[in-house]
Amino acid sequence: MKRVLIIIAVAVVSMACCNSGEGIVIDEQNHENIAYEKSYDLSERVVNATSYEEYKAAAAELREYEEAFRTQIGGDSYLIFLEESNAVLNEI
Amino acid sequence: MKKSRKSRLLYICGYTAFVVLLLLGTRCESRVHLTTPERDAKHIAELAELAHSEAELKVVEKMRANYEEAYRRSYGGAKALYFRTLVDPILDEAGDRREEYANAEAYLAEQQAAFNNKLRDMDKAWKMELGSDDDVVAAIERNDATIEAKSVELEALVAEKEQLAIDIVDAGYPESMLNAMGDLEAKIEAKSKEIANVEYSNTIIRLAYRLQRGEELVIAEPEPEVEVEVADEVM
Repeated sequence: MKRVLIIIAVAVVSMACCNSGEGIVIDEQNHENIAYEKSYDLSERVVNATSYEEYKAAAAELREYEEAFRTQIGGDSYLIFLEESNAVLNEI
Repeated sequence: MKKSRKSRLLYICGYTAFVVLLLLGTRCESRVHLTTPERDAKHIAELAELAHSEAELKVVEKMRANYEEAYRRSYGGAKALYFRTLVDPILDEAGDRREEYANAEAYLAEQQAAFNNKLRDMDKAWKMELGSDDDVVAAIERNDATIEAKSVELEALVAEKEQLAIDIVDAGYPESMLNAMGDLEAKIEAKSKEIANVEYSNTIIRLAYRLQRGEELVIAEPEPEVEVEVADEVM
C-alpha cells in the first residue's frame, strides 16, 4: 500500500513538473530568427484561414508567441516580431 | 511615589526612542552614502550608461538630485556645485538619448496597437453575418450615404466656427461667445467621430467579405451622366 502511494505521489509530482514547463519558450540563442520565422508563418496562417475556427486557432497561437516574445525576449526581436506580423496582417 | 518615578522614566525612554526613530526615518528616506564627488559622479555615469528607457533615466536624474542635496547639506554649496559640474555633462548626454528612447517606445506602442487592432478587426469581421452580395452592397451604400450627409453637416459646422472666430475678435472676446465656440468645437469633434465610426463599419464589412468570401468586394460605379453639348453651327 505504501509503495503504491509513493508511486502515485511521484507520478503526480512529475506530471506537475511537466505541466509547469508548458507554454512557449523562446530559444535565447536564436530569438531573432525565430521572430522572423514565426511571425511570418503564423500571420500567414491567420490571413489565409478559411473558417472562423481555423482563424481563431491561428490567431491564438500568434498571440501566444507575441506574449512569449514580449515577456521573455523583448527588445529588437519583439519589435521584429510585431513589424513582420503587421506587414503580413495588413496585406488583407 | 516609586510607581510615579517608574512611569516618568518610561515616558522619557519612550519619548527619546520616538525622537531617535523619527530622526532615523528622515535620514533613511533620503539616505545617500557620499564618498567623493569624483567617485559618486562615476557611479551616476555608470547608471546613466545602463539606463535604456525614459523611466530608468528619470530614476538616475532623481538620484543625481539626491546626491547633490546630500553634498549641499553635508559639505556646503561649493562641493555640491563641484559635484554638479562633474555630473551634468554625463546627464546631458543621457538626456539626448532620452528623446531617442521616447521615440522608440512610442513606435513600439504603435506597432502593438496595430497588431491588436488588426486581430480585433479580423475577429469582428469573421463573426459578422454578411447575407447576400446585394445585402452587402446595400449596407455599404447606406453607410456611404450617411457619411456624405454627415460630411455636409460637418462642413456647415466648420464654416460656422470660422465665422464665429471672426465675430469673437470683432466683439472683443466676450465670454458667452467663447463658450459658444467651445460648444461648437465639441459638436465638430462629435460629428467627426460619427463619420469615423461609419467609415470603420464599412472597413469591417469589406474585411468580412474578403475573409468569408475569399475575394475583394467590388461595387460597380454608376456610369457618369454624359452631357451632350450641341455645338452651334457656324455658318
